[in-house]
Amino acid sequence: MSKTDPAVYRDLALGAALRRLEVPDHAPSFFDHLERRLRAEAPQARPPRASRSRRRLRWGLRVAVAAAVVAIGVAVFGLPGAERTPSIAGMSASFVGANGEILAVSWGMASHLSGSKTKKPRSGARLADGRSMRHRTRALRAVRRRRMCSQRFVMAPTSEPS
Amino acid sequence: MSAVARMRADTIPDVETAVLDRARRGDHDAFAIVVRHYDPQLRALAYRLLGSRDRMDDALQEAYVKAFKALPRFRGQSQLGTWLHRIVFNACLDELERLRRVDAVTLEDAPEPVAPWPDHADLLAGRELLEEALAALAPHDQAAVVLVDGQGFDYAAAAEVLGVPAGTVASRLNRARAALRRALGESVKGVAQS
Repeated sequence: MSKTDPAVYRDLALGAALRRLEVPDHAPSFFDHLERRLRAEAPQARPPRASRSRRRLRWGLRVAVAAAVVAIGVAVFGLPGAERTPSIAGMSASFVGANGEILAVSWGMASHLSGSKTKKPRSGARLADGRSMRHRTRALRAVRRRRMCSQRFVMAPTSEPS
Repeated sequence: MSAVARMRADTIPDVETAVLDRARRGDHDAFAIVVRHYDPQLRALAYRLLGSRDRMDDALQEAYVKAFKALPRFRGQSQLGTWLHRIVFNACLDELERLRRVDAVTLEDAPEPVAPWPDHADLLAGRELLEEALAALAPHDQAAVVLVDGQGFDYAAAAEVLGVPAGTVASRLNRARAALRRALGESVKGVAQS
């Protein structure tokens, strides 16, 4: 329906009368005030945002460029550390031949390692006789020190010239 | 349609695309050009609805600032003039709401029918009567008459401004015209012809 559509009925006489009615002008300061308000709003006004499809296209291009740069880098310089991989993964035949005996012994010792699992009590824990762990540790150190002193005392005469 | 009405309806072109694009990018000088282009029509609508220059200016200030902020999102699905009219109409309704006048103004409050003035000579009195009768209408009915009969909008564009279906615009127009005729007798024709 356009503005000239004949199906639209207009009361022409009423329309003419309406247009004759007085409409006051703005107050003198209206446009100055409006301009100030628009200036205050202007920095917040943003350009229209690109459509979703266009944003997707931009991101796709960015990802494609980044992937191309990485691929070129790999093609030119290779993967970092790639040349060291064989020496890390396995030993050369000459190295095994020269050190075969040592390696066999080391492997045998490593495969026969054994022990019992112990749990270290907390430092503040109490023993069965009521003493604290710290107290017992001090006592053990004192005993060890005394033993060492006594060994020195025993060994001292042997070192003297006869 | 008379030549005057056709001229009013058809010769209000949209502003230049370049100016509109600048305004959409936040150029307030370009926006001022847009505003001045449509201001006479928007002012008429706001004044008819609010009935006071100060209220009209307040509502239009708010409406123009809102339009400036919303312009980047304007996709051109409707004409710019229609879009601006809708913003101004809503700003006027807000202003009326603020003044708690909406509930007070109903069709039932329309003045009693008066005898047509004697020889249609006193145009000033006729205008005053029309203004009073218009002011007695509900805001949506006032706006429908001002837009369609006064400014040459078609029903679809008026419906877009008022936010109602075109059929509702037609029924509101009928109701408003009947109320105006009741209020003025048949004298409106006399005002138009004189």
